[in-house]
Amino acid sequence: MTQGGLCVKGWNVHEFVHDPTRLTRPLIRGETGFFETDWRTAIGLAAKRLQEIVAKHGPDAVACLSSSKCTNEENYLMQKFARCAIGTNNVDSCARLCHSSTVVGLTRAFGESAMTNPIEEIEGAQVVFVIGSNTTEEHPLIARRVVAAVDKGAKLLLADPRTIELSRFATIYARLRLGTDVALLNGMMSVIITEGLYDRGFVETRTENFEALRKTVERYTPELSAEITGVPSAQIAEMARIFASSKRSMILYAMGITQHTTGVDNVLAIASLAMLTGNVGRRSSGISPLRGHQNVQGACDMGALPDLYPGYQRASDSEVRTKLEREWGARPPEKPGLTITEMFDAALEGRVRAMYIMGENPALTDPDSSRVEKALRSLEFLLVQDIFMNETGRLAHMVLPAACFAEKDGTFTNTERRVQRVRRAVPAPGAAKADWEIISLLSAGIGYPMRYTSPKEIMDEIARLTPSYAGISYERLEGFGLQWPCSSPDHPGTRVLHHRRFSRGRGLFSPVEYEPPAERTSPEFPFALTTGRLLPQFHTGTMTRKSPTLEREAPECQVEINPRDAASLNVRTGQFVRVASRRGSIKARALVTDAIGERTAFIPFHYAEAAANILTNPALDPNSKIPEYKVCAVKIERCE
Amino acid sequence: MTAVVLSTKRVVELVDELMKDFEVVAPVESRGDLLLVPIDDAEEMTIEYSNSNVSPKDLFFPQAERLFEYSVGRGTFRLRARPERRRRLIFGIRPCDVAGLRYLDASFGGDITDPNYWSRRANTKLVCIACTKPCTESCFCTSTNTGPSPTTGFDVALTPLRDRFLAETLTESGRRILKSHSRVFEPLAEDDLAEKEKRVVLARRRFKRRVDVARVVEGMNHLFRNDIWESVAKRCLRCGGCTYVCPTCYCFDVFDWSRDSSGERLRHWDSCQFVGFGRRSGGLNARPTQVERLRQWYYHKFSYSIDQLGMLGCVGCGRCVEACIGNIDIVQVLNELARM
Repeated sequence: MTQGGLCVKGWNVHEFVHDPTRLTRPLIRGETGFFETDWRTAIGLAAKRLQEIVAKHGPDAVACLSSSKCTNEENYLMQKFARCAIGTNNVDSCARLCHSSTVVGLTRAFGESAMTNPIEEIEGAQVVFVIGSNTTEEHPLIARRVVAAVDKGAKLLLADPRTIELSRFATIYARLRLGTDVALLNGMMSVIITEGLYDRGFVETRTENFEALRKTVERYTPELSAEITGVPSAQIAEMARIFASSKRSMILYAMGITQHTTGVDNVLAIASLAMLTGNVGRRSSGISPLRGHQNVQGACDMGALPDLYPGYQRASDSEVRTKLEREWGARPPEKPGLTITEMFDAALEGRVRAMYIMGENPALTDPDSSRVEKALRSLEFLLVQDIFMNETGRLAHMVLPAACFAEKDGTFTNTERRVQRVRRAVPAPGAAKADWEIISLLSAGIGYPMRYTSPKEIMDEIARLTPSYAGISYERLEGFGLQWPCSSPDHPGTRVLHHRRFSRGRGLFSPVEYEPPAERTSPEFPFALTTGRLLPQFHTGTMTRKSPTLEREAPECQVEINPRDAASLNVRTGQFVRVASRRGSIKARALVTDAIGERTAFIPFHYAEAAANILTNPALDPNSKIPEYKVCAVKIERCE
Repeated sequence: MTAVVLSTKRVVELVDELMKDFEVVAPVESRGDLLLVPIDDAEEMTIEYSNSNVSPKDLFFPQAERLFEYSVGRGTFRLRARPERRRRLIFGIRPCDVAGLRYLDASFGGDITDPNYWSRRANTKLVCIACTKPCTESCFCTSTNTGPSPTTGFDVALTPLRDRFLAETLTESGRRILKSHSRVFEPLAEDDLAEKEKRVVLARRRFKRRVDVARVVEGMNHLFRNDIWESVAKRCLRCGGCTYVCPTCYCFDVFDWSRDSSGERLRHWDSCQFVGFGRRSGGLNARPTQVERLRQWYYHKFSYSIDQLGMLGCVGCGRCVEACIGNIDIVQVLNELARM
């Protein structure tokens, strides 16, 4: 998969694994702060608190957050814990915050929401269209494949508000305005239809609702599209022609597409572009929603979602619930639970009284973090399970020490649907335990025993209940793993989805109109702010900022602004600026660069001391409930 | 030169014998990777191998190690360093890596010696197995004059002949190994030495990747400001992998961890490819972009090393090519430099 390569984080991962500040003992909050305790006391107390709250307020007063950093087995147990031990569908994970719009959008268009083609096929593409993905910094080992494709003669089309590193390899680089992706994609499709470049055969035999798409996109002439996006019309037309000219055109996208109030619309437009040109279901084509954690795909597959059970089986389907009940010995609830963003609203309103958070740091990762912190503080019982103390743990009543990926067995499902083994390489520090062990202990503590002796047994249960994982077992995962769907013990796994037939039958064109971001710039807040990651850091830095080598690479938050804006603000690189939105403000150093357009700013979200999410807008996509991390309005002032 | 013969059938027997006197590190295949790791049983090792994915430098200079611990008491200060002094033997180190160790010996030696490195190095014997063909598609040791056969730096060199190895030594410690295990060795047959020469010539011919290193070294005098550095650097994804897998890269950083009245000093590998490597207080960076950083790596290996240590800083193992996620191939770069 990685061809023996690692990115800078992989090479230095040992630094956080062996960090002396790892959590090694369960911690209970006392009057003067946390004190250490043993497992028996901790589990006993946590179980008692959860039981009390369930008895008093009902199971839906408890909410669980599962984790894309944990194994499939652990995610499976967390949703089973919520559904059987507690009795609620209130289980979600940070996948909500990165790809829930992909889940909704691609399920509607294709019937399946995962990356359609394997990573290695990127190298064989004739055209690679990267939109809303800073692949080099966020998925370096996939960027490697993109560059390899260019080396072999592929054309690279790139659309991004920032001049990212891949632009050096791009045939066309389109710098579009923040949140105008639908207008760009509709503009491209309009050219493809008007100039007759679309794949008639594919459209007729494999898709439906083409006429509706035509009607909508035809209005997005290159000129109109140019006006909205800021990309010259000739460039839009040329991108359209290049994309449509090949039967091996691949689209790669990430958070730049999904984290908008129009996230689902963006995904639908991408799906339409791929279908329109016949680029689905064959080698080196299709759509690649790039997943950011090692197991975002798996966390979703395992049903750590409030409305879906393992393998995306619907909570509303009583036959599914009966099947699960037979195996689980408890009937899972029917009513859909709360999404991650809704959980915090519910906490503020007193509907949720307890949260069990495994391997996540919502105090920093969720938009409008001041509000999230208030919600977490309002809980009667907050139980956090992590490898380090973090911003969320500091608010908890109890913190349980977990083993990290290098200290346990299990499986991860990567971005190309490949289920792979992870193996214990080093012992966990102190009394830390694997998450699956902790969940099992806690579950037994509240009267729903989980009797697993190893993750392998959990996977066997997953295979029995999850059609797309039915053929997966540890024996078969030796070597390079298996790509789901893998429906039986002799099924070889599936390289390319939607070959000959879409999962839903015919591919569905869903025309979408351009809608501006929820928050627009104004005289008071004249900058459009977008957020993202830097290569050496990961997420809220709970791991990478513990690594001295990685932290040295990007030790502080820098706000990227354009030289013209810097001149009018009288700011130079290295000077402190205050960035304020309607929700809060942060102080950080300016980085003056023409990699970003005028009246636009970029802030990485890794830094607790200058947390980007104090600024971001919690406005949600109506269908997927993903927040609009990628656009909000801010003002910037020089700090005197 | 002392030379005897070891039958392929008796390699396991020899390693079993060696394990009585040494912790033996040998090539082991694990899920498609080739590791040089301590073995518990001679049967674990393989002698059908190319070379380890990462260089064996970490056996002497680990990626992370504790240099010392300290504690402060009432009016006392205790400092404890516990260098490793295990008797070790690497069975099956490749010629390029023997050359890499010679380079590290010079770097960690000289006027001020590194105690941690040398406590391991001085207690480790090297049994080198010559290559009969390129280890990977990337290696080019014939150009750097570090393979496919070792010429110096080893205790025992084994060259594969048909169904046996020619075992040679140049050192007293190597002679002791051959002598104390004389039971498993056989005397030299008449044409064994000639057979070896033939095989070395044949092996050399199999190496198709070649670089005119002398030309590269000379060219470095006038290529500092050449555009090539920019075109190569734009592919670099700043992972540092080339320096981590390299048998000669020795840069490290030290960190102190203290809690209450005690603590420890750690040493981790560092890399000149990192932006933080050259950053000074106040933010000034001697090598602000990847262009300067990448160029530094090449200049260190093909110019500065020659001035400083009198040897090339590259042993032609090709691991940096295999590890590079930016698809940078040192052989292509060097050949381009040589053409200029």
